[in-house]
Amino acid sequence: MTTTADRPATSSPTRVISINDGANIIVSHGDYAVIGTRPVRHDGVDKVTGRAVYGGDTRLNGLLFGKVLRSPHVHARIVSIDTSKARAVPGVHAIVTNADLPTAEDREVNLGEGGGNLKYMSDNVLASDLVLYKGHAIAAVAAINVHVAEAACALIEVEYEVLPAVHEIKAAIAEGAPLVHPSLTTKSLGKDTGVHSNITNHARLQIGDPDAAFARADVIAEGEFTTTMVHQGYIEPTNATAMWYADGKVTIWTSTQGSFAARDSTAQILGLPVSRVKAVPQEIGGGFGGKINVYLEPVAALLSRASGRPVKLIMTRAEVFQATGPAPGSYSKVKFGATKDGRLVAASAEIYMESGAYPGSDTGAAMRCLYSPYKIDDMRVDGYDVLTNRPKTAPYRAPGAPQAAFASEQVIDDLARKLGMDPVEFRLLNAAHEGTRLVNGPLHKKVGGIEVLEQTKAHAHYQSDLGTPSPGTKRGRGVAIGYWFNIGLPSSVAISVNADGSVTLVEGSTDIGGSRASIAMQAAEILGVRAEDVRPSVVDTDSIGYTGVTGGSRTTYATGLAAIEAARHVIAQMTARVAKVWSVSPDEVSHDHGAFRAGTRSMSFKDAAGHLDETGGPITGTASLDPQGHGGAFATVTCDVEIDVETGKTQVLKWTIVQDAGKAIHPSYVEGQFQGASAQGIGWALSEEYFMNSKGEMTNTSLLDYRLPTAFDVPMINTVIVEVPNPGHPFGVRGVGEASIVPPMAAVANAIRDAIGVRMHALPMNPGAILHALGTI
Amino acid sequence: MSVREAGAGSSAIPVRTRTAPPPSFTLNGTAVSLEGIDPHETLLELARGQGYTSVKEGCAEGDCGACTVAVRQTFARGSTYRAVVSCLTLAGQLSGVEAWTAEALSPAPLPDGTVEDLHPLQAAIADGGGTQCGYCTPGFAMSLFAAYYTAPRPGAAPEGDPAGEVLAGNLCRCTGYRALREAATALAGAGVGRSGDPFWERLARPMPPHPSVSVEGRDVIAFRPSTIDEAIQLKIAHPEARIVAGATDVGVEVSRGGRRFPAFIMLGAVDQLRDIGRDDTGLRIGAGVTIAELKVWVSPVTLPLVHRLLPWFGSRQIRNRATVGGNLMTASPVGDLSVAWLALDAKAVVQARTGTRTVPISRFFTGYRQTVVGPNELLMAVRVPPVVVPPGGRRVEWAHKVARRDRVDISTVVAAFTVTLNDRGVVTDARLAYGGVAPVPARAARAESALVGASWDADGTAAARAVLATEFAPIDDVRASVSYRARLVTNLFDRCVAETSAP
Ligand SMILES: Cc1cc2nc3c(=O)[nH]c(=O)nc-3n(C[C@H](O)[C@H](O)[C@H](O)COP(=O)(O)OP(=O)(O)OC[C@H]3O[C@@H](n4cnc5c(N)ncnc54)[C@H](O)[C@@H]3O)c2cc1C
Ligand code: FES
Ligand code: FES
Repeated sequence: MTTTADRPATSSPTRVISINDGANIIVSHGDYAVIGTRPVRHDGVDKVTGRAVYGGDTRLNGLLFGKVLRSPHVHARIVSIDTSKARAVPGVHAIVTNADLPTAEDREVNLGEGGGNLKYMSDNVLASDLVLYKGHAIAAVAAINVHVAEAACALIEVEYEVLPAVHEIKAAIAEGAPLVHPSLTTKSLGKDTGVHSNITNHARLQIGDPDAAFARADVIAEGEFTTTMVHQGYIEPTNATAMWYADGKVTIWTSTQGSFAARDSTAQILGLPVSRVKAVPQEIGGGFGGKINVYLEPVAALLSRASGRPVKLIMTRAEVFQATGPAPGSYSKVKFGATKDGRLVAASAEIYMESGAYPGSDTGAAMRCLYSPYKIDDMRVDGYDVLTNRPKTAPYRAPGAPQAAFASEQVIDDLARKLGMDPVEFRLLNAAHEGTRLVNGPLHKKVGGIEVLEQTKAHAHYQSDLGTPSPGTKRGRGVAIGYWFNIGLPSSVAISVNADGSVTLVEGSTDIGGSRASIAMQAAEILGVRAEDVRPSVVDTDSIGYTGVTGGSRTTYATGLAAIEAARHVIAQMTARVAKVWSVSPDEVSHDHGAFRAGTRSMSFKDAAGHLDETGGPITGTASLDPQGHGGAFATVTCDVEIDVETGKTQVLKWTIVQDAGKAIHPSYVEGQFQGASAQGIGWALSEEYFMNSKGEMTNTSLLDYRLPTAFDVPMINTVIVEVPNPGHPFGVRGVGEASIVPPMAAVANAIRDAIGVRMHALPMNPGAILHALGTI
Repeated sequence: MSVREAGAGSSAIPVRTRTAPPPSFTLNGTAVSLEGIDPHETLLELARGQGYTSVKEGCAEGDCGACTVAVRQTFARGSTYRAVVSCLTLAGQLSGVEAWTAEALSPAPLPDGTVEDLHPLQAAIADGGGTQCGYCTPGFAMSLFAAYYTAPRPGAAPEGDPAGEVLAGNLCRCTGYRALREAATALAGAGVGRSGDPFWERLARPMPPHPSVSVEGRDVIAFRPSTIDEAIQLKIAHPEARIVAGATDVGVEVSRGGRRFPAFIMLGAVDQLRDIGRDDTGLRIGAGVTIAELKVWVSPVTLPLVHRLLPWFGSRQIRNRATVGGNLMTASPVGDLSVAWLALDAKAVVQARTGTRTVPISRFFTGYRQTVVGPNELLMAVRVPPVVVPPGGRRVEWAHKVARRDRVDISTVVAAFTVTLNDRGVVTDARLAYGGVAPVPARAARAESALVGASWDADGTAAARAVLATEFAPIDDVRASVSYRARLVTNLFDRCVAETSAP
């Protein structure tokens, strides 16, 4: 194997654990009592028996049901709204419009993580003067049931003045394009250019002098790529229930990725201090980034204030598609240069990302991740946020990075082809490692890119033949790598000890991927008890300290750290109590694997818990922290495809994903994240898209026409968990939720290239696109 | 429970005096009255209203499977559980139905006095990582439940991807399906003969009678006739009433589209519509036969073309409800079976008060989503004529469905061909039927005539193929472009010739 001279020796993991006949492999370090085992998740029984309570299952006395009236136009001025006929419908209790919201200031507000412009947030929830996309909320009705509310919505009379619209990036950035926000001017490299356009922001990251470096390259590969808007596709529709109490306090029950984020946004939009809003997170049926922003919560609150009763709103699937935030479409140009011995010397790229109806897209993250797998001395990336008359985009798993990787990893594949090098070898030769400079400035901390690539190369899948294609088909194999930096953010945990030796753990992180288990297990490891002895619950915003959203692959890392700290706090107090029982000084008592010891004396955690009453009463350990030691993660996908060259259909035959987890707390849930993201990647690659007609209206707003993959479309996904510990976490956790969706689309495209000899420049690579690429249509 | 508002014009319907008992159905072993329930209400809404909130809504149109429940149905000499989507099951169809949701599976008392905390299939999902967010889980559990108690059909060729078939009607966005596939592979059929298992033992019990009891809301009535005569009488008395068979099309209009009908005639209890039989005029398939029943009945020998096509039809949940008659009457340009019937030269048997008439399928569709069946008529059956093959000759029956997904998708283009060859391999008769290339399922008449006399191979059929290429003018839509569809017309023909030219 070729390696770069300055690369540190890889820390070879200690042990390979293989289950399922080699299909799921863990390359592991470190032995623990609880961590790395696979207990049944704490919420598992409630979920398989159907007893878990989701947002839509919320029941309250006197509950009313709401419905939102939405814009039929892609872009229009609201001339007037007349609700009088709707108000006369028997069973209607309240109707609200933007006029019921406080006048929102045009200013940035801090929402704990990232900010938002208050006017935009408020207008997106209920349009004021303009509707900027089809499905934009205009008014809402609360009634005795949803059918009455629907009927009343149909009676609200809205007069529109239809405006010209822009439906996609290239049209939006064209000279003379209709403007989504005519008053906005382009900011470029931090300065206001004064130019009115749909480009709200242009940013640049640069290291060295790529233009000069390209002159030194022997081989150059480049390409232009587009991706279409796609949806996170959570199965549980967006929902919210609210009660505005007579004392002016508001409670919202909702399926959200961040109860504090939901509370803060709702409070800002309603013009209330956060102390008057409480968010109660309900079980959440998938989010993937799409359940961070609020859409219905402020509306439900307004309807409750107007009716004096609790109000529940649930979107239909068509509303979910048209009125929540999908992932942005993108347009990118990418160029890489290498020497003839295969070293990357220069890179440049431009990335345009849609932000939809209001400013702010995932461009920054796309720019940060684009070159991260590689060591390149001279590189530049320009990023542009582009407004379109489409729903305001929202995060979707590693937001921005998959679109960028779809472009860059195909160009890297071309470069390896031109150089006649094996694609994994080429990536290994240029792999980034600890100390490699990132395009945004800092150096990589300890990362597992090389280990991940080595496991990819060694995997039986990569070593195997493609096999014989069925008649009329061609087969190919593709590989791609992706990076996600992961994040930290504040978290809080409280652990109380019960007399029977079990503990109760309360946290503010809503659980979307098994985090209750992974956090409880970290506490159990420190306390020296079994995972089952920890009872985790996700509580409302009045019951725990501030906790950031479940997103950015932060929860097992950051809330895990809080759980570890809280557990240590418990142990410190328990040690003192045990010392009291034994009449020794606390310094003489040690704790190890659930046993307290002093000299020859020993007491189990459970027995110690039994002494709490007589030694000073209950014990609660708490921790609130804002950790900074998160570590980025690499993932590769190897996939084999078979393409029917007569129908253009691509079948994924084999799929292996290798990812650095740092430490897999509960390996099954880590594998679950890899597999789930892989399936989403297969959909994004082959079949999912917002299909727009010439008027810019989405025409596939049902799950029959918006094609999420079924079990039939997804092969048995093989996983390899690589554990290169993150030094910023005692167990080495990195966070696993996102890196896995970065490489799939590029890997599939590279496999298609391998099979049919044609480079795919756009997503989705559906049957029509394949026949088109083949030149047969 | 919510009550829908009245639709316009509904007050004109005379309400029948009821002689039958009040309508009800069984949900998780307990009788639930349907008295006064609006027949538009879905089983999804009813079950949730009863507190069974494991039944989840993800789409309200049969695509996601989150609302899957199991119903017990008569089968052979006993009964069987079938997965169905509750969002497309209307209250008006429910009289006498026995339905089960995930809440009922556990804890289960076993006869030896022990209690099973979790049903084995629930344990398998929880242990194996088959649930993450859990929203899809109860629906998967019920699809697995039906598979768990269903024995593989003796002698049936194993399906290419049996686990995929069990799961294809349920979407999961979190797990990537691996753990669910493992559970399906391990558990399909595992509950068959499991002594002491109350769900298994129940299958030997007689089904509750299928009473022909109407469900009557405030101003909408769903009639439930038990004979064809009664159904026709009702249709004549209430020409505005919507006929419902499996409701996989009508249910979408109600559940997603919010459509209101002034009245319904539910055909579910008309047993005469459910027969499949053969006589000297060929096969007769009742309009009420479900796609699932047809799929069991057909084989590579009987109706090879239909046998080839049916695995692509919907999902298990849809096939368990969707009927042959509903598929024809919906008159979709991409109705898969319509295309098959066209190629098979089948005929529709239509019943009016004055008697029956028989209409060739080639004259059945009169325009986009329109048929020859009049407002007072009922589709009774489809007749497929016997196959006549010249001595020493052979018959080619071939079909292919192209959709963006292999299961639960609407055809982009679907093709069904029957070609008769004489002893010299020369075409004596050809029918090339397509869906998705014209406003109605259509035959390529000019290419068919050009084929007669041609030898059945790539060279011999070249002239006919050239004609075929100009025969249709397809349209652009969300599923594909004009050029893609046009290309598929000839590509599918080529594939058929390549696969079948050598005997
Ligand atoms: C998720 C999903 C997947 C699907 N996949 C496919 C597919 O792969 N291929 C395909 O072809 N279709 C598919 N469909 C469409 C649908 O399932 C079929 O058209 C089905 O055969 C309709 O039968 P039904 O009994 O449910 O019809 P219903 O909804 O009960 O009725 C359909 C129409 O026929 C009329 N009707 C029914 N029976 C009679 C009768 N005896 N006399 C007169 N009128 C009658 C009804 O009034 C109504 O207008 C799918 C639907 C869904 C929701
Ligand atoms: S709710 Fe999606 S299939 Fe019924
Ligand atoms: S577990 Fe979330 S959709 Fe299946």
